[in-house]
Amino acid sequence: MYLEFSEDEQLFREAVIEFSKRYIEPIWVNVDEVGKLPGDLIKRMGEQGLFAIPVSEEFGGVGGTLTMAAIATEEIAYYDPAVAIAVYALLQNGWPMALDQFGSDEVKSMILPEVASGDAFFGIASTEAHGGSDVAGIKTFAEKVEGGWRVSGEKVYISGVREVLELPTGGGWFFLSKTGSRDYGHRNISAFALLPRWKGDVKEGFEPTIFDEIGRGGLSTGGFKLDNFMIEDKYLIGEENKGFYYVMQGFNIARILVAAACIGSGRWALDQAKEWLTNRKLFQGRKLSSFQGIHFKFAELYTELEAARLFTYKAARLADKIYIEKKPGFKPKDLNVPVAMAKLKAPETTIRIYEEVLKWYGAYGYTKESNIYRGWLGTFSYVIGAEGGQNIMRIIIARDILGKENIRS
Amino acid sequence: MRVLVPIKLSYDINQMKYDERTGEPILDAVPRVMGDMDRCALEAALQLKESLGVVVEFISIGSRRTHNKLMMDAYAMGCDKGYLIEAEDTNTLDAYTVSSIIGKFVEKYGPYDIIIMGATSQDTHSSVVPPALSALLGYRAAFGVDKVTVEGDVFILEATYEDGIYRYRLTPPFIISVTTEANTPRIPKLKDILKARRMKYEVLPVNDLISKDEVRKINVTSIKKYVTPRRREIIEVDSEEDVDKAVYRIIELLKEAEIL
Amino acid sequence: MRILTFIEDLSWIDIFEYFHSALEGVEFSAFTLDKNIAVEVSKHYDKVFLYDSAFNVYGIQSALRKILNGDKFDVVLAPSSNKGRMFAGIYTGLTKCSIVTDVIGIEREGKSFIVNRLVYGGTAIATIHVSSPFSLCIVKGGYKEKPKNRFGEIIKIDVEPDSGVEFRPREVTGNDPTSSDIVVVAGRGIKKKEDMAMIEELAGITGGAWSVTRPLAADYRWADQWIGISGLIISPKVYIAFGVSGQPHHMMGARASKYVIAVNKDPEAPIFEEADLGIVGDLYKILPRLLDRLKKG
Repeated sequence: MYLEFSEDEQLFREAVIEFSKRYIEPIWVNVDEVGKLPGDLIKRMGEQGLFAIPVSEEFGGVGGTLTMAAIATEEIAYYDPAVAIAVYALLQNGWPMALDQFGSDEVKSMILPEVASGDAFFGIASTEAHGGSDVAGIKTFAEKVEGGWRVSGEKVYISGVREVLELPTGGGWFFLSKTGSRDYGHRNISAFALLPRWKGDVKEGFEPTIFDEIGRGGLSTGGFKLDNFMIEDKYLIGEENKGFYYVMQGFNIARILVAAACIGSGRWALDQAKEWLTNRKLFQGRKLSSFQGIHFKFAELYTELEAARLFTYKAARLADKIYIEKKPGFKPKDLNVPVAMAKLKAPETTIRIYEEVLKWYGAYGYTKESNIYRGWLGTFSYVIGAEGGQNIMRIIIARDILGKENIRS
Repeated sequence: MRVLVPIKLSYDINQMKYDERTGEPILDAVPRVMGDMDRCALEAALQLKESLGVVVEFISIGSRRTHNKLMMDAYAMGCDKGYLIEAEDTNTLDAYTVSSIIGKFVEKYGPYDIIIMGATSQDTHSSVVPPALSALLGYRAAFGVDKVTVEGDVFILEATYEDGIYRYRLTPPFIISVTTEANTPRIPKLKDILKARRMKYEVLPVNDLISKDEVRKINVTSIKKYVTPRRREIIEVDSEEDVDKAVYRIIELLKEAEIL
Repeated sequence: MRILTFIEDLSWIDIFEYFHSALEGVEFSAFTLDKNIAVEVSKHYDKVFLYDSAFNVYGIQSALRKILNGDKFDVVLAPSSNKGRMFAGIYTGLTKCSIVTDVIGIEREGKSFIVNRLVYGGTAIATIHVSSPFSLCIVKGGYKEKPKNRFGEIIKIDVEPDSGVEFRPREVTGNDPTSSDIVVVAGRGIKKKEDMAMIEELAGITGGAWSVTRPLAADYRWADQWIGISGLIISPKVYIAFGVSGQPHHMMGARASKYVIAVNKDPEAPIFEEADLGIVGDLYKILPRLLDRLKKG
């Protein structure tokens, strides 16, 4: 039932495929090589309505669903298996949706239309040097002052640093900081819309750096230092000290899209493999696909990928019931396990696919020309921990199924 | 000005499936899509909407069950009003019947200043409905148009045939059919797809336009996969010697055909 | 059977003659737009209607209306070309007759006829029952018959052509795929425009013509014509394709070729299904070697 797309979803999927064939497929290798997303592509994606899909129309969004955002992310990733463009799209759907759910009307109507059009970036900034999975241990601190907050601290491995500096309007992040006390824990964390650059110069007290990554070239990753950076009161997202609660929901939303990006890229890799295995011949004309060691593995990976896809869209449909349709009886925490399963399954399956496909390709797979490695390196970021480490997913599933008290050591 | 675009839900011939034993097509398993040229016809009309402010209406013949997505698609591209002429088994309607249904519709719901169609449908590619319709309506016409430009109230339409380029200068009313060279169709935006979901189209029973006796079906006795009688000698080239062998066989065949 | 044919060029006389016999015709009329063709055609027809004008839809509508005022026909025959389809389509609209295009064969069955036509991009043959009156658009094929001598009168049809039609004939380049014995065709497997030189060279050496598939003409603009249902329909002795996958729309334009030779890397390419000689291999190895051998004699 979860994979029966409705007629409008099918039409949308066809539109995304046509868009991706026209504007993404011809440039994805170059984007990965050069390491920069072309500004006109971002603008075009905005015009096409590929950002802020699950954001209400009232605040400049498309008024669609998270399922549609997942469809867009999956298909873009198929045509950009190195996933920089897909991840850019997923960030511009997931975190605007989170802001739409929890932010104030004033801030939403300021930020979201600019994100929807592609003129501004809005991502997530929670990770700090001590480790991204340990959100309760962040050190950044916001001190309440007259009219706002004075913030100091440092964030690392943050997507979109260059985009915030370079896009026409600028942008920023769904940003976490300790408020009230600096103690370890999650009851003293608040979420802010941090906008170091918005229609003008970079604000005072913001010092960015850009990192060089091994894959997913095209989407910048960097970090920033905040030194007595001023955030006005209106940019507080929701209530003070509830940031942890909001960001966990934001992660649930984003993780669905991460899974969608992985399955899109993995599907591309398997399609490449299908062509390779059925055409390449060894040992006096035997097709590679005729070896049981290979076609058993292929069948298994194909099945695993389909399972990951089912997990992903199941979670997306559930998220729509909670956040878009706001159906009574559906709670945000219902999403924890389905999302954790999708985020556990999709990236790991995709990496296994790439590792097999690279081996099937043999020496050719090891060359840059085959381009297979680009998808491998691009999606690898999601087994490392972007949008939540894999063991965190296991903890979430175990905690919710077995009970919190039963998994404590 | 009112522009009418008749569109067809075609079988996607790139995904044709045949029963291996009987060679008969398994049409239920073949996806149906809006033909590429029909999409270009809509795009041509929508470009006139943008430049001249025309109203773009579209019509298709089929059932709500099969054609709903097609109708939504045309709305999502930006059309103003849609009509579905309700009929079953539309792929067996003969070309004259299709033309007369559209012709009667134009008489009853028109007048339309311009009718734009795809030059040929994706599955049967007969290309005869537009000329038949032009004759029925007595409209001036240009078919297989791959360039549309407007100069004042004159439409300049260029079509390339086997022997050269034909350039028509027409003023409405007229009917044209366009090829995929005419334009690059817009991709519906998600917002418009969501809007299209809520847009209603008018459903008219086919017998409101032509009587039951006038509905003529193509009398197809069989459809079978076309297997060309060819020799199908295949040479797989894996080595240098194979290259020589392949070249040798090509030259032999050229000799047999008395080319060399 | 009274038959009216639309004669686009003289190569159709033999083909229509075959259909004249198959249909058991008794009265033969032709319609043409060219004075010289009319003279030639009149030797084999009872009546030739000459509308001396560049092709234009509105003029043909008026001309046919005028002809139909006095004459009646049971069957109309036209080529399955752009103009042939338009002619037959207009006739259909005027007379309400049935129409079948892409016809590749006909047989009598009692009082009616069984017509074979290509459908679904030429991947299938449909067998259709028709009874007169009907129009047929015919795909060039092996069927031919020597035309009988008749002595027809040429009847000039005077109707105003559509005022605004200009015709610019295709530049005569000497490269004419529709009238060559061998046509060398390039598909997507040709990577760069410069490589088209090899295709043209092979056409030159073999005294034939060259052409391309639609993407190369429409998307890359490497040629202004292509082989296929929306382009040229060819019927050479040899069709030899390099890097052509064999999509239905393309193959429909090439199927009437006597011999099909295909060179393609992909063993799954559909073109191998309908090749007399299929070479699964790299065209960049095979084509240069072939040119080399041919040049050496």
